[in-house]
Amino acid sequence: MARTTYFGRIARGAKGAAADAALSPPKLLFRPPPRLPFAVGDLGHDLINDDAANQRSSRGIDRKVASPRQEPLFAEQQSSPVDTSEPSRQSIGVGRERITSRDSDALFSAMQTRRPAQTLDTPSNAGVAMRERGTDAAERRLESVARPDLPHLDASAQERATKPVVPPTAAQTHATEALEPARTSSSRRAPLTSAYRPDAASTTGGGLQIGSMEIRIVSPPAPPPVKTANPVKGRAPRLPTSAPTRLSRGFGTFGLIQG
Amino acid sequence: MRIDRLSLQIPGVSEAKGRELGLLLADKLAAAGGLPAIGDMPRLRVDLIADPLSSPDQLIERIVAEVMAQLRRVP
Repeated sequence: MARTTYFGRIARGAKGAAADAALSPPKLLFRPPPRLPFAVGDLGHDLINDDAANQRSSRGIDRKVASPRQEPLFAEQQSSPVDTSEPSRQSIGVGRERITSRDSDALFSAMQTRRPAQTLDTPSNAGVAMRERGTDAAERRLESVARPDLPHLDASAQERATKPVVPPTAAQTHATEALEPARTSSSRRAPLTSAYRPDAASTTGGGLQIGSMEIRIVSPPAPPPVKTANPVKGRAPRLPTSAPTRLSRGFGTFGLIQG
Repeated sequence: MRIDRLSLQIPGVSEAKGRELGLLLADKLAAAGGLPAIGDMPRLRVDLIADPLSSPDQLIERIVAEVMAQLRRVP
């Protein structure tokens, strides 16, 4: 009968963790040393059972708070005799925990170092091996794979980093023109006003404008012709009444002078 | 003052002499005082009777005087 062994689960868990690590920002892969809830030399406690009792109820950061000075918020924590020797837990809301500075290293406990929960199909001896391996892993203080000089991404930064890139709109791409620094006073183009072109004062709209100037100089009228009298006889010419000439009929005023 | 187009019709005067009279008229108008500072006259026409006994400068003086008289009547 095929049974799922603990080691097989470990292998699948490691594979899944590697897949998670590829899709998520780097996490610290060490577990802080267990804080012993008893004094040195006290052998009355079962370390394995206590460790199992202190298992985290949720994935993620170790919720233990080592500061004994903080007051527990829940009544069951105050009335529990076991908790008198354990560090108190403090919760400030669903999904959020207040971590003191003393236990700040608990923030870096990794998901990969947690031991998988024991299932029904797991053999009883595998649980012992699991505890032993978990204890060994907990006692070894693993070095962080993350570079300490690089800033660690918090939740908001991780959300921004995993946010899909939206192409900029036309208004955003053209917004750089609005942010372009203004020209310096020396590079600005001088306005074309009368201050720069004194001869173009009328181009600015002011001044006197004449569309067309027509000047016509006309010659004086010719003097009327002077009629001269007959200097010989001193009298007007006579035209025969019986036979008028052609000129007298056509040009009346300029008749022929007949002697 | 700005004059877009200037036309001179003087009988008995060559083209070169007419050009010289036109430039002289422009100088006289530019130097003249008492012109309205702002105004727009699309067309200005001056008709004068030539005086055979007057010189070209006197003719220009008469033209300038007539132009000034019309410009003062510009509303």
